[in-house]
Amino acid sequence: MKLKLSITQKLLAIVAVSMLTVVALITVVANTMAINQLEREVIESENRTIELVGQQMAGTIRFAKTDAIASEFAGYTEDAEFAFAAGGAFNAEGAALVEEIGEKAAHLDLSRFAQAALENETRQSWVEGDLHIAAVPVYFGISRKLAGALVLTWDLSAARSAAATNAFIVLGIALAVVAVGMALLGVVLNHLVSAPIRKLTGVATTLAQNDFDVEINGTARQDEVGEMARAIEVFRENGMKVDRMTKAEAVRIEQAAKERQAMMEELQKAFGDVVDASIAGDFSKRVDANFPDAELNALAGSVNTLVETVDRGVGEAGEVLGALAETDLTRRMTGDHKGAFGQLKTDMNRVADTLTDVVTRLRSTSRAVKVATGEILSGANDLSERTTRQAATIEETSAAMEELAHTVMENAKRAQDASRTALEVTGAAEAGGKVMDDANAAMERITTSSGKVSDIIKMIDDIAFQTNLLALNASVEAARAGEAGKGFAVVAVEVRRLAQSAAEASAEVKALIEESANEVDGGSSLVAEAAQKLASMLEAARANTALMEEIATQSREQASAIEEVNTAVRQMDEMTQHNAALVEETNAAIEQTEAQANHLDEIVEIFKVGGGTVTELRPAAPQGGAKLPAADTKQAAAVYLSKGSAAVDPDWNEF
Amino acid sequence: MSQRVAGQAAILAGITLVAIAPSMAEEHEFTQELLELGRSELAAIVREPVVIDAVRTQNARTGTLPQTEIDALDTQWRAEIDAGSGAQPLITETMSNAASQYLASVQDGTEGVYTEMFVMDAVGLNVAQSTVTSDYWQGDEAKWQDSFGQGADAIHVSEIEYDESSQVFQSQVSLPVVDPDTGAPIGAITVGINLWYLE
Repeated sequence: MKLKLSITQKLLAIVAVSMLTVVALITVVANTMAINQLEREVIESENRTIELVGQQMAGTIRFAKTDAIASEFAGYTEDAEFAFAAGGAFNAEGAALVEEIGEKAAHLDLSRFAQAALENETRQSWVEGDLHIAAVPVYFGISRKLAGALVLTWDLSAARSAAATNAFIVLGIALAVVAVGMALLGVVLNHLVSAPIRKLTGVATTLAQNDFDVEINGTARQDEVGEMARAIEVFRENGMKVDRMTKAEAVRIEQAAKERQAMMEELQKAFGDVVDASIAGDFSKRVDANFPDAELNALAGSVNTLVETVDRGVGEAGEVLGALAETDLTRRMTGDHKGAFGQLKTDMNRVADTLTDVVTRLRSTSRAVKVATGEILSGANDLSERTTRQAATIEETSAAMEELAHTVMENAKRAQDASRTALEVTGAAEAGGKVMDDANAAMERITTSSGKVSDIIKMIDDIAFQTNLLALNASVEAARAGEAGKGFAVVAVEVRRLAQSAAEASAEVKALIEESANEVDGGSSLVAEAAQKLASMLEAARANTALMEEIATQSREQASAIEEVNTAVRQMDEMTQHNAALVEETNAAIEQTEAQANHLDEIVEIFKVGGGTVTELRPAAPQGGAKLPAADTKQAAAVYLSKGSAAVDPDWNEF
Repeated sequence: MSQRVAGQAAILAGITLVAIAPSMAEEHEFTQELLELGRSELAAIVREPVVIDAVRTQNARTGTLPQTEIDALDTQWRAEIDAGSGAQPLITETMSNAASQYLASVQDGTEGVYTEMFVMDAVGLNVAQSTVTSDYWQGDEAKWQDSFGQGADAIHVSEIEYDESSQVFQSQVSLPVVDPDTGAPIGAITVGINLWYLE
């Protein structure tokens, strides 16, 4: 719903908004400035205070009179005006002497501030929330020696809330003044503007309803409302004049309308039929009425001429189009036409000429196409035949290659068998070597045994010699014994004989043993020779095996190479088959093209061109594109093909 | 830390001094400076004839006074202080003698370095003074006992005192008044020194 407000209300609203904005702005700006100023002054005064207190307390801090300092702080605490929040006295090293910290400043670390004052040796002042913290260095003595620092903290909240209260009071007064001003302005505006305008609006509404019997107040006033009232007075007088004139005019207009109606009906009767027929496409009717007005007669003549011109132009164009529809391209418009019909005649004749030209060209082109396709066809047939021959040759090649591969594989297998056999030979030779070693060992053992036998025989020889000596001694003793020893002497002789026999036998055995040792040495050297021979045989057998292995490997490689050649031949075979199929497709396409060309010929034949037939253009056609010399085409094709693949070379036939 | 070191140094110095002047009070950081002051400026004051004459004269008068008389005079002094101006015969007499005048002029000349000056006789009664002291007999106090009582070379430096009303920190230096003829102590002088001017 739209709010409906009177001018007074709108003005009051605008003024009220402006006033309130101004009041709000001024209040905010002025009070912010006042509060800030007040706070600055408070802080400044507190800073001056701490300077004075610092000077006063210099001695107590210098000599650490904690009681005196504490009582000083106690005095501040009791004094509500002082707004004391915390205080601290620190010696020159920054150690706290006395700290009196109120509830509001409980979170503060006063020594930090004292430290800052001691380091900078100037007064420090901070505002943290509602607290103002000031710290001063304290000097004692004539030489102004740094004795410590004093920190005092004030609570700013009381000063701030007082300032805020002031601000609210100012704002309240300002709003009250605005309210009173608005009320007065409302009364004045209503009396001076709204009430008179409402009355004038009522008068204007009455005038708008053609009621001129009203009284207009305030025309004597010298302000805008007076002007408005005078203007409405003028409106009232004009309204009364217009009301009087309107009635006479109405009668006159009604008479003129009737005369015009009669005239229109007559004209409709004379021209209506002709125009209606023309609209319906019939241009044969003419105006034949005779009017009393010369201008109307001239108009009738003009209408007749118009209809006749249209009739002639449309008729002739119709005839030419009719002939075209019957495929007769020989007819043209010949009448004398002007303007749009002249243009129609020119365009119509150009259409007929163009069509004649197109048909003539089509005919000659279709002939040329037929000749060209014939030539292509014969070339394609030739290609087809060659491709078939090529396919057969490739198949034979493939078979030969397969046979070759088979033979090579057989060879590889045999080489492998030979290699295996050679390996067996090597094994046998190695076994022979081992036997030789065993024989050698046996020979050595025989030699050792022969040595031992020789030792034994030597011992037997020694025994025989000793026995002989003993027997000799016995014989001597027996001889000394004389007769008594005769028997004994016989025995001794017998023993000596036995000893000699034993010595002879052992000498014989020794000779035999020496001979045997010689034989064994000969055997050992023979065995060594045989072992050497066997080793060289083994070497030869190993070389033989390696050779066989190599032959087998190479044969396998050969076989795989032949397999690759075979694959290539098979691919060639496939390509050739594919080529043959392509040639077939080309043949079919060419035959189709030829049929299409014939069909085109038949279509073009329908048209009747100047002289009754179409002229043959083929041999000397001025359009270069229509001529396709067969020999040139063939040559061009051969060059193009031989660039891509050797398979199309003319020699391919011989393969 | 540095304070503690200074304190230790002072104690060591004190031990040495005790050997010379066994009656020395607890030392503080100004003691050495005050001793110097006593040996130079103050020693010069007590050599002034006006001081020595005044002490000699009073000793002749009070040398034989019994303690009761002395106490009576001290009581009278205190009563006069309480009574206020107009009824202070003893105070007026003491303050107006030549020695007191001399002391007052010396104190004025220091422009605040000396806070008070008074000379005592051989029994500890005041002879002359630049300002009115709170009592008349000092014989029971260290300032007299440790100066006059310790021989001609003794010097006594008191602890640091704080006067709350004037907010002045001071220390009293006391030394004997020596008879130039005999070389024996005949009295003592005590001078209050404002430490502000020593710092």
